[in-house]
Amino acid sequence: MKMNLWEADRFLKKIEKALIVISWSTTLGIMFLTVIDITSRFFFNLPFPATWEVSEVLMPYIVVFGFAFTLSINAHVRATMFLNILPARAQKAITLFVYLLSCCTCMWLAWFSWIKFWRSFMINEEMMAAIRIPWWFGRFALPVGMAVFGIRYLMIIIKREV
Amino acid sequence: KEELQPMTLKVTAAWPPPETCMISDIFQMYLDEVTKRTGGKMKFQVFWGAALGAPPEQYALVKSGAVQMGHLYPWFTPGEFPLSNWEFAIPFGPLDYELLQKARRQMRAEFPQLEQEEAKQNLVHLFQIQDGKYDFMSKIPLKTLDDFKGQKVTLIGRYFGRWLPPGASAIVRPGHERYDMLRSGVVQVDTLPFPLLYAFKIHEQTKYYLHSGVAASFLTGAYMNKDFYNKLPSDIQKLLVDVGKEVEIRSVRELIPKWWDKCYNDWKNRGMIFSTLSDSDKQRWIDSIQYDSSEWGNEMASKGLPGHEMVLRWQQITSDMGYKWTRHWGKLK
Amino acid sequence: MGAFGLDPLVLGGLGIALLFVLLALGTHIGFALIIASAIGLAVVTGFKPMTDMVINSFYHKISNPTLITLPLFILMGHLASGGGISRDIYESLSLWLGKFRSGLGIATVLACAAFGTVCGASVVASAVFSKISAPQMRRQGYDKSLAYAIASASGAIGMLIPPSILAIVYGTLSGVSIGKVLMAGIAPGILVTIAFSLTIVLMSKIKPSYIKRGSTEYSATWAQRIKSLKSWWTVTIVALSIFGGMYGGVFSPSEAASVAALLISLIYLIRMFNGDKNKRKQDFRELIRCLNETAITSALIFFIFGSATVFSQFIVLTGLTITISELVIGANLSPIVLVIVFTVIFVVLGMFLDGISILCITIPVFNPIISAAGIDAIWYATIVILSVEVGLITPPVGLNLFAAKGVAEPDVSLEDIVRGIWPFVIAMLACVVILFAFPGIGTFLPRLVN
Ligand code: NA
Ligand code: NA
Repeated sequence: MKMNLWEADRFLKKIEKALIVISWSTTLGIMFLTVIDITSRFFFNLPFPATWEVSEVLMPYIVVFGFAFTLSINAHVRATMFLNILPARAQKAITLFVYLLSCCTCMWLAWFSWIKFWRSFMINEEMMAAIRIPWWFGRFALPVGMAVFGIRYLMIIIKREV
Repeated sequence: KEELQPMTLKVTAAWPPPETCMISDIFQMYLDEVTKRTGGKMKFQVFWGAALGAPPEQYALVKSGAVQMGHLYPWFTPGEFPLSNWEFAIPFGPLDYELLQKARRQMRAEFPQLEQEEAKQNLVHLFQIQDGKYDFMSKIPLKTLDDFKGQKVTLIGRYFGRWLPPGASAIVRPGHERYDMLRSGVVQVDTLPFPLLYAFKIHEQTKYYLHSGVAASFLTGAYMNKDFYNKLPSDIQKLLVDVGKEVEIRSVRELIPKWWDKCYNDWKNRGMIFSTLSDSDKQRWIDSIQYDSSEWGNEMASKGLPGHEMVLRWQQITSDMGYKWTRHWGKLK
Repeated sequence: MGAFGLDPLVLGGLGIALLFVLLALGTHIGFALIIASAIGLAVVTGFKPMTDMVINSFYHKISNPTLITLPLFILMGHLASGGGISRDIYESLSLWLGKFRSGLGIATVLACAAFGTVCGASVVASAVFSKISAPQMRRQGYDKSLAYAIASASGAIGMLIPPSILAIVYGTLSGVSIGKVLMAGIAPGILVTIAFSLTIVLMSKIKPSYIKRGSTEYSATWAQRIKSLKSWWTVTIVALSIFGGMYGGVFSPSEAASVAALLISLIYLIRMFNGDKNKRKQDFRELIRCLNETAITSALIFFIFGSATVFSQFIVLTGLTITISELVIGANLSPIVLVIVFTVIFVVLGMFLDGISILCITIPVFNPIISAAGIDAIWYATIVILSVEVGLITPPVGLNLFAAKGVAEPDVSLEDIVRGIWPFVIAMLACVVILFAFPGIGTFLPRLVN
């Protein structure tokens, strides 16, 4: 059982790392796209039709795909000054409670944003843009990112790493 | 008979408040009229300037019932309101606001799919809000069609970029980005309905105004949450719809001319130079456009919607009302 | 009247109280904001509308392309510090400043002001400078509270100096010229720059332990100083390209971040390939680390950014802000008292809500009263924008504080930064008072433009 948990944690870490790579690759992608657009527009008078909207549909990947990894290295911002005056056991209990609450929030957001994505996908929803840009592609990031985020919370709770 | 209980409805609106923005002013005219006719029983608390959520999520606020009413723009979410965008598929249509309002009502009567589209989003359409004509504002003089050669124009929308005069290219950006694009000199030209040129203060960065005649079809609307509407006494329901029909016409007769005068005088005082494209230039422009409305029609047809029919019918209805199309758009597939 | 017959004041107040409890329990800031708004919204609207609103508000905030400057400038910051560029510059600065130890902090404030001419969002400036400047100030002997407070607070200057998202929003929502509001931000920007600089000098006198001896020699020779200038070439290239491009019509302010990030990446690669061959592998690993850091920083700041929007929209929907406004308007105050009361409201709202939400909700209600009272619109705008900016560095919801914490070194807690921020909050409030007392400061420049 202990071994399985350790393996699951390692697997989760791999997923989180992959998501992080997608996140910064997206940032680099938008950077190149914007610079190429600027160049093409300034020197050849040929602006791209939808750099703005393409950025819009990609941005959730930059943001949401970093959530879980950031939690795994305990980098999300929180205030601990009130907790610190409590005894260690109380601190632990409270943290366990708020992590559980956060985990539930992740699952709730993951589920309902999945429904939102699915609806968007089924009607092949497009953005209002000069070219066809599938909106569902952007909406896909939220359920995935939130689900992994929630699983990381769960992992921390199970492993009592609070 | 049921009595209306005194109530204050929460209302969402994506545009700046009525003091600075014409379509908000028109919307306010409607709200005031409803409050007056209900003897002050129905009041409204409006959240202007997209305070409750980004423009594309405005309809969802009304749909879910987070607020009871909204000044919405189906254009932002073409996936949920495909047909409501028909006017944006046909360039160089009528510029007569009153004619447009009447023609739209007829389209609503002939194509129940429009109402079904709204009902699917749990919305009841209350009235049509007409914005002003699309025009150009520029830092460089634009007087003839040839002046557009090599120019970059900031605009928004699916087809507008392809309706530009020959040699001009489109840069798509939302309103609040345009000011900086002009300020930094990336573009020299912007196009918007005139009240929005005014609201986004495009005049602060430009000197020349060109009447384009490309469209006056910037159409937004007032919508109510359907569940909420259904619970209202029937005489109130009727009142909401009747006031809508009235304000539709009253606003284009009273408010739009008032706003044009206000904008025009302000711009004139700033030294803005106005010009109009010659008829021959305009026709040359219309003939040069590669786009054809069947593209939109096909897209609708693929969803089983009467896009082609609407494109043709719109041209028929408006020409019956006296508008002369100088090019015919679209065809039945 | 709100849901269950609850008064908007009570409902909004309960929401804020709940937020306090969640924050005190150590909930991650993003979820403290989301959970408090979710519970509050569920009371106001019911479960389904609440869920829709939370997801939509969050999604649209984090997908707003105006904010793409955040990850890109953060990438720039990470590469600049990872590549040792910022270290070299702070060492050079330290050589030049010698015994004037407050100088480094002041240089950071000035750099933030300069960065403000490129960047239109305060949070971005805070994050970038907390990454590149704060650790270097610490190396030169600054206390961590002070170092991070300087970077966090100075970011606020970025939104006073054009370009500025806040000024464009203000101009669009009100009848006031955007150009004038942009110009009106310059003087307060300079004022705050001076006030922050004085604050640093003052703090170094009051608390000498705040600035100790650093890693660089106090008494450098002129030869050392001149030689150190070599490290400035990277910054010079990037700054000149950005200014040239932005004012030469090549790209817009929101596109400048892409150009800056690309240039710094190229400089990093050039240094890497020109450097020691054996070090190349290590440099490459450092590059990947910077990219990972960029992703992490973007994630944690946007998490709070998106959630703060959700919370603001919940408070707006309760009608709390409108109710407060109506109470004030009903009190029939004299024009000057009116401005004072409004300013207090802005500062208090700024403790919990984000600046744009505050403007959206107050401008339609306040501005007609202000113009009816015959108050100078530009003067009022400068006061509003500065007061709203104060909110960025006030707890409990201070986005600049969170951004600084997000990129801070591991031994720096949020409390450390908050402890150091108070002198700067007071300095900013003092600036508000100065603008109030001497309207000419704010309105001088805007009057020149027409
Ligand atoms: Na700025
Ligand atoms: Na605050």
